[in-house]
Amino acid sequence: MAAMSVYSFLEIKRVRYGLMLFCALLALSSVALLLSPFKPTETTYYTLKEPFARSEKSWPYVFGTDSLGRDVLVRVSHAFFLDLGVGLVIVCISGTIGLTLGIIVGYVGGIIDGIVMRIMDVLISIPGFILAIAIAATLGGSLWNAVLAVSMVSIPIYARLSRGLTLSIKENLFVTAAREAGLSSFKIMFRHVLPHVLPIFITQATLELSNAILYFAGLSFIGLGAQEPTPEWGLMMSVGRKYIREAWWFPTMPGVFMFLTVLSINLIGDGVRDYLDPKKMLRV
Amino acid sequence: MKPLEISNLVIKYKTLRGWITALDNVSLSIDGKGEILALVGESGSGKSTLGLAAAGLLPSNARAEGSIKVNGRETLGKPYSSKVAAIFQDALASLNPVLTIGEQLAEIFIIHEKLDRVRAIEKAGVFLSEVGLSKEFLDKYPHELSGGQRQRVLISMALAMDPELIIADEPTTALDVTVQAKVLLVLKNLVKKAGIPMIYITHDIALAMHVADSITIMYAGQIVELSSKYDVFENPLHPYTKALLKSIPKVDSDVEELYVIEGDPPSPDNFPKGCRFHPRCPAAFDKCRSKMPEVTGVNGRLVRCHLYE
Amino acid sequence: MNEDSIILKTISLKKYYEVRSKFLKRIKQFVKAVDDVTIEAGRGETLAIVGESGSGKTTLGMVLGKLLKPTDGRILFKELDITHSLPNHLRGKIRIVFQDPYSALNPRLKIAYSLIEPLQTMSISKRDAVEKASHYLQLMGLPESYMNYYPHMLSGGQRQRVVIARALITEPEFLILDEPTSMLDASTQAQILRLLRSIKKEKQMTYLFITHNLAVARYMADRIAVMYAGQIVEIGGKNSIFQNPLHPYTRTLLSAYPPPNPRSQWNPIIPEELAVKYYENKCRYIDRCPFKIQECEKNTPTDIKVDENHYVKCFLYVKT
Repeated sequence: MAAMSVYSFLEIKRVRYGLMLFCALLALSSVALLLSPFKPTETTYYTLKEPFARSEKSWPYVFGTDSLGRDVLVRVSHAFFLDLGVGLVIVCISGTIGLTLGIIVGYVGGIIDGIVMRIMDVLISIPGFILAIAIAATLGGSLWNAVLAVSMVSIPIYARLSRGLTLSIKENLFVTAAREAGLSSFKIMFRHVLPHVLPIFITQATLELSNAILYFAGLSFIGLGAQEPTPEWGLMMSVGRKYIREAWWFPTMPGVFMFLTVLSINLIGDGVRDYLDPKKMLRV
Repeated sequence: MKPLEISNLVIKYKTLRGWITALDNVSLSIDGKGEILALVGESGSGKSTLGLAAAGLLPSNARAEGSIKVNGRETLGKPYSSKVAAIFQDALASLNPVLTIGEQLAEIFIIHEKLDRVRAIEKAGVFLSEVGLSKEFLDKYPHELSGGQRQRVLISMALAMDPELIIADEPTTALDVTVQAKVLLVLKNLVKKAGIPMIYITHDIALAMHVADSITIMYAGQIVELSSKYDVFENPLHPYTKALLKSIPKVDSDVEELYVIEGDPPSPDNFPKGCRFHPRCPAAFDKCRSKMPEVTGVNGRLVRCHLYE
Repeated sequence: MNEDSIILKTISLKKYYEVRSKFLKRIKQFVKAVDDVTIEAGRGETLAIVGESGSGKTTLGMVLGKLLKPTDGRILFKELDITHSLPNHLRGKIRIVFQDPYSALNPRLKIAYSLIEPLQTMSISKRDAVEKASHYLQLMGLPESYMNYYPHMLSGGQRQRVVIARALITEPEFLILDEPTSMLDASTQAQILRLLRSIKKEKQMTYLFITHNLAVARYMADRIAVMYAGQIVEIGGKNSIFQNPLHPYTRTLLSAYPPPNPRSQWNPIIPEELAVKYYENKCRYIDRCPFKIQECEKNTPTDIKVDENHYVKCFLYVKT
């Protein structure tokens, strides 16, 4: 059955395109990082060279060089892993906290539920990015502070989602039956509620991954995230935009990479949602 | 010309697991005006599918063959017509929540009898009083009514359409027993009075005995027995009917031990070979395992069993 | 009844739910789902609780099964007060079988897991638990291979057997059956009812059989309690209730069932269709009652003994 579901998952067109795009980006970045003779932070005198300009080493500067003479391809590829990794870390942190919080307050209810969800309401009523800026600025601009800021901003989404799902799952007789059988609340949440929350939660998390990447890159762009010389898309665009007239590739290439990565994740996430949605399953 | 004549009706549903046969070669008829025919069977017996087909409300994944004639007109495959009225279990879903009862009932007269609004409302009041609801109910919304009152409103709406046939599919299953009695008696009396033939679908054979004139017992998509209710009660022919009558607890007498039909009803995607009841039948013999019995006439009654061939 | 043989006893048990009726209104209103219920059930007996929707019969089952906390009153189990907490050695001795077999089992868990779940709170090794599960599965007439099945692979009747096995696995002495067959077909219902009767005889259990179906109650019960608006309006032995129903509600209920024979007349008493009101100073059945007398307006009826073990809450039977 598992093999069949993976197969039918791949049957969805968007998933195929998304996966193809993602794999292409992954392959390009891996090849550039492993085989290219350039280092992402190594500065040279060959500043702002155009794409495919000849270099002293075995490879040409495929995407050109930046204002400090660093190879843009290698930096962009490095940033692919950095941004993707950071995105995953953010989703893991905020997802775990949000999921746990949501299931607990949804199951227990009462005053705790009221307090936690009001806090979530306050958090969600402030535009996410502005809140992230405020938190990052308070903590001070650094990569890990930006991760923390974006994670905190994302928690309410997961908490609300899992609380809502928990409330509806709680209505099922099998939860009452588990209570009747004498199971502890923790065990009921873990064995009976969590497995039913998880599929929908994962769908949401996939879609949120691209948001996390965008937020993080955004913070870096305004100087509150990754700091020089770390290769990061937002930071590269921020530095490169001053050179857009004489060296378009310097700010454009990180932007294109980021765009394609986010697009591929969204396509896959959309597919996951279609796949796990029982109403749409009949149509696939 | 019979009010209702169904012949060789076959209905299949397309599902994820392929085509399944919900109704297999069903033929029956209602001969007289105001006659009530009960369809009795367990879940999956095809009784509700038959009701939907007769009401012209089959879902889009169904495929039907055969013929359903209402007063001689073929209705199978035709869109839903106001000449067949249907009453379902879930009254709240059948009523429009934002219109008052009066408006919904009056609308029927405005459309069908071209009455003006005032006259239509007046007539709606008369129809409501027939089902035992006062004029106050004209201005009420469906959610303000109790389950039994809503079901009575549905009955009056069905009658208002002046149909040639009424299908009542488990009309009282969601109601409490005391309310059920009232609704069923109202339904039976009005149908008899108006002379409209009715198909009454139920899982409760005791109710069928008091509401209907004749009873059709269905099992696994087929008719297994069809005769007058007195015959079914006093001298059931088919082993399934016999077993069913013995397996129901009685309210008016003590039963020492209930008779048990072993096993479960077969699922429509996996009917047994031969007679569909043979794995659970105490009287099964070799022929039952290999050959499906046909419906045969026994003293004017119909039964599908090798014992009576 | 002999005091020693009483397994479960309630004293003035109450379960109220607060409802906010009107916006910003300060007056508290209550649904008195269980109101002043005093019953006792002896060992090996089946006590049926009969009533229509909203009578509070299911709430009573939930309170006795420790799923809901009572508002007031006491529950005694073998003379031990268990109103607030169940002592460890009595764990699993009171169990509930739920009405809906289609949602009582977690669709993502194998039957084996669902069966051994109630044993998890007890000190039983996993192997013994699995062995027990398979024993009870077979006792319910299902093959051992079903242990590895998921609920969706089973029919409704088979699922209900699993649900019952899951209740029996902790060897309960008091089993609350909340409409265990109301969602099943006639042939399956007969199977389950017979099975329940034979298991009770074998294990000397006490059943609290909650049902809206008087015919089922007649087949299953030794004694019958009729519930209306949170109160037990009539209680008595099965024969005494069916042959001599006294309370107007019991009579209405009985008349609502058609006699099986189509030649017998069916003349149901038709009550007014009105919302249940939880009156405090008059009879709660007054709105629907065709036999009401002046007294019903003034006072709340109390239990009147009409016969050995037969009590009725109705002013019509006050001996003057």
